[in-house]
Amino acid sequence: MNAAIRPSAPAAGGALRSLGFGLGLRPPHYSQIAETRPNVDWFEVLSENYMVPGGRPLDWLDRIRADYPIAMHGVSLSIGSIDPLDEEHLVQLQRLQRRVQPAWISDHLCWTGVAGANLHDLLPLPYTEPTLAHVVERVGQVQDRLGCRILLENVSSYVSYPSSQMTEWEFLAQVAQQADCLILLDVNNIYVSSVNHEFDPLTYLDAIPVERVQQIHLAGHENRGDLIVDTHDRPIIDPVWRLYEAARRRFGDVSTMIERDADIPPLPELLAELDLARQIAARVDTDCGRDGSRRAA
Amino acid sequence: MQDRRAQARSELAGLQREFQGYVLQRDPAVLDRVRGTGAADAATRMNVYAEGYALRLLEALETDYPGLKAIAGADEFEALGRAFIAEFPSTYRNLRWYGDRLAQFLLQAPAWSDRTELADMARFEWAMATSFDAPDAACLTRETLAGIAPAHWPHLIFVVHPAVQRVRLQSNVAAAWSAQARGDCVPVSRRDPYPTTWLLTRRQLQVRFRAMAPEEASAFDRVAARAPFQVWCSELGAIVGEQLAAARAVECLNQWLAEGALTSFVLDSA
Repeated sequence: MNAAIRPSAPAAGGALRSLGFGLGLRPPHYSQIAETRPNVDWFEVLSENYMVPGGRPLDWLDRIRADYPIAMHGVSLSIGSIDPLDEEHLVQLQRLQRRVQPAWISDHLCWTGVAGANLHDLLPLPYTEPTLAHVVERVGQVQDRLGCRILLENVSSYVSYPSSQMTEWEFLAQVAQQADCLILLDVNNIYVSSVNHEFDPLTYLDAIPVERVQQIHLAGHENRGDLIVDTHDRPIIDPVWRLYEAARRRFGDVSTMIERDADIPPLPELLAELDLARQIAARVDTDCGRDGSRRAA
Repeated sequence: MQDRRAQARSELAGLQREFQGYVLQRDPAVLDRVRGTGAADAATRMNVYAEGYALRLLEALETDYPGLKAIAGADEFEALGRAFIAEFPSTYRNLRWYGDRLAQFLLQAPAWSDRTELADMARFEWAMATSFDAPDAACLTRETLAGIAPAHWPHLIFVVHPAVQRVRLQSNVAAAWSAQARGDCVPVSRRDPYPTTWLLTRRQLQVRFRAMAPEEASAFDRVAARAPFQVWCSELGAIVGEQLAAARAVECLNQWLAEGALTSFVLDSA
């Protein structure tokens, strides 16, 4: 089942074909995945976790890559930072890209630090024309460097800026169009931010260009009452599933995966959650008279 | 146009610096530049980022230093972790490397510098982590060495495997580490007037460690410094006696080969 996935260089505009339903590859599940080859269509790895010289993590990655398509997902590109792009980080990203031959490479539409610091968080940008130009220029540099289009993910946020001149969804769509990159649409993040900033999540979905969406993320979060925090430490809640259903109706057969980064449960629990995503997708596809193939833009 | 771009860039830079200032030092300047609501004011919202930063770094330290947490206790570990985080903001793209200066910090911070077993444990655990994901390399085998002509042996320079680490410890933190890994009670650490050198190797991608005898540690120091076989063998003789030197050297070498501590050799051209 070693799928020969080309390393993401489609013609401008369109997204790649769907890989189906995936999970985040996490160390507690390495051996079970390698030994039992569970019913997961593909895995997403956190790129930075494998930017190490050698040893067991890379060995597991190689073994699981032999059986499954892999997408690389980064958290430290800091595409919106005012700092220069981190040359060493790009070198390591390219090195991993050569090793893994991923289906695609993604990171976040955010910044992670300035003046050399890294806050290890996905920090929101002010949605202004100058920020847009800044990000578009840097996405171009990264894509030239990697030789492929990248996916940028919308982040959960807890603050917004009065200086913003457009909405987050307008900004995301503009970045994708102007930089000719793809979108990793995190449905949970849309839900989290819609509560934190009091907007309609369906308005967000409706503004995203269909042909740019390459992947969907699903995850759980913590509701603290005054704010929702994107923790990836618990199951997906019903409102997020409903939003996923709406996303599936709009975007069609888009590669979908579940992220769990803390309090990681046994693999069967995540497989059951993934089956729920499959069931929702199948129901939507039946309702829409689709066979699972991608909807035209 | 250039001026407008520069000004816009400067505004973004200012916002990001102020945002970061809040996360790292609770500098309130950014609060005027972010939006709060009735549900959560600006400070409440920024605190999600500030608290999240410290918690993520603490979690990274816990991952790399479970033994240190075990011997320090959870509360003390959090205290030293937060002090370390305050002094050393992360500059790493990968959290894996955060914490590289923890042992040095513990040796120098007045609150912990008299508890040398803490710095010992930190050095030991960092060496383990470094070995864990060090570069891969083939291991030198006895079969390969068996084919070397006797005349070449004095001139052999061995290359140490990149996963090998050595660490000199004054306390029994290795035993304490093993105890916590088994889920057992951690024995009280003690300070030993004679430091022991521990050898960390990686076999089948698993890090292993053992104490080295003093003469073996000296010999390995010379091997790592690329001294030819005849040189470190002779120096070994000065410790164990000339008559026993060759036998002890072969004994050490066999053990290192079995442990995968060597990766190759070259002939000394000097």
